[in-house]
Amino acid sequence: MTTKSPMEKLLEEVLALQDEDGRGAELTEERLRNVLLGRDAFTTHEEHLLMTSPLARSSCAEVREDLRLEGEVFIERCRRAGIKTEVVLPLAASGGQDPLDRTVVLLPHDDCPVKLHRHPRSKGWIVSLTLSDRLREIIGPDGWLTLVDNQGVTWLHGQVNSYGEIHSYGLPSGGEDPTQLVRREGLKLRVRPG
Amino acid sequence: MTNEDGRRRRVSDEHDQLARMYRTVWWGKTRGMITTRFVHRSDRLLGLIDGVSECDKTLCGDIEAEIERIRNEAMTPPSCKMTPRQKAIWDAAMDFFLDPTKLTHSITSDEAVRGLKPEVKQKQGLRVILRSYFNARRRETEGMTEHEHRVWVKLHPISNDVILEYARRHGHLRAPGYRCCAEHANEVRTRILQEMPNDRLVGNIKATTIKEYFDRFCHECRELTEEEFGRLHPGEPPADGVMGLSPELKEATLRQLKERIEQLVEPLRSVVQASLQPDKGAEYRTREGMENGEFKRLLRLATQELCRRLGPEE
Repeated sequence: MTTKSPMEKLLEEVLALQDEDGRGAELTEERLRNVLLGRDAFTTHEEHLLMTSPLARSSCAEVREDLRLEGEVFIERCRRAGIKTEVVLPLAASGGQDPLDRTVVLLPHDDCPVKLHRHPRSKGWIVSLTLSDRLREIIGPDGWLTLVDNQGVTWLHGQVNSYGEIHSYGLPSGGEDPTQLVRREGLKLRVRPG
Repeated sequence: MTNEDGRRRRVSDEHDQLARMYRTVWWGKTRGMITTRFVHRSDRLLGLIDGVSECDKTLCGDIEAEIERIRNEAMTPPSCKMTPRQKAIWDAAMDFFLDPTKLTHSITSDEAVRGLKPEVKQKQGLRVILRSYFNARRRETEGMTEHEHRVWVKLHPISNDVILEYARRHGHLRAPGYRCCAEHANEVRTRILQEMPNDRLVGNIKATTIKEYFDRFCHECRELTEEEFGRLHPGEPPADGVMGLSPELKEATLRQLKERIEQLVEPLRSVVQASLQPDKGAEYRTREGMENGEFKRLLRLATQELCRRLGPEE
């Protein structure tokens, strides 16, 4: 359990004094889900609602809790199906040749191999994921997936297409170069729903 | 029909649909709004009953009058132009007008709200009473809709499975009323996600919605005394806490709070700053020759002022 600082306690007391005039109802669960899953960002008006409306905060806390449960169940279902939810870059297994010298880097995995390939006309990289049938079954036909590394950087985020693939451009987030990122020792990519 | 008539009709239909949702599926939000508004105005009421073990007729009359005052104030919609959902939630809320006599009875038979349970804050006790009172009112006015019935007959067997599985594993059943706690709602949700995530009726149901179903329709929970019920339900979701803020937004709000503290007039600013020290203002009070009661009064004033000023400019 984390200890709250005096400022955090004061903030809780201040927020507990807020009245609710129903404006918080404007922040819908669908919208909250989209933002909490990283598909969009809160507008200034929505941030204002969250700071000032107990109803908006309560809705947000509910959606967050629901997403947490969904994440846990995803991991559990994958575990039961024998699917690993981590992708490890096999630099050691590449026979001494640095795989990053190529324009295409493959990170093998039984159920969700990751492919990094340079964009043909720009400096950026495209990150692609191909899902096995059993992982597609767990995710669902229109499911969303995110690939995050152990430093919290998002590598891929998107909806599964009809071929069971997801392609992302403009990631990893934070404008970092994936060729530098994959050189990090112990780099692992974790698959999570949403 | 002109285009304008058609547009008005559409807006009105959409409004009716939304208001219906706030009476049924989103009932928890409606109840949350009324509860927050009531508790926000309850200081005088809680002062009236603080530490009272026996309530005579005069006190009951005073409590009823105070509840009526709070109700009238809390149930007055804002006079500004409302957004569509705001208007809908208000329309739904107006169907659940408080009955001062019934609520007075609940208050006089509960110890926590009268400050007689040291481990429970009066406001927390009031929230539990209001939750149970509004759920009962909702059952009276709305009953169980056809959709709710279909969902309920699906949820209940899942809950049974989860509870029996626990009993098989541990050799004993859960405590009475366990079905209605948040932990069980999470267990039921987890089971649904594992075994029937694509179910048309319950596949997408949220844990808090599952809890709502048990709060309203589970006989096992209704048979508990208010006190037992309160113990299993330590309060509403953390509506007044910081749980609904993302870490980034929480940081931004904390930064803003610091700025607002700087903008307070003296002695409010110094009192808040002193209260944030490890000694919680002891040294400040000695230096200023200030009584603890006065320090607390000023701190309360300052907190109210900070609440009024919080929130970014739009």
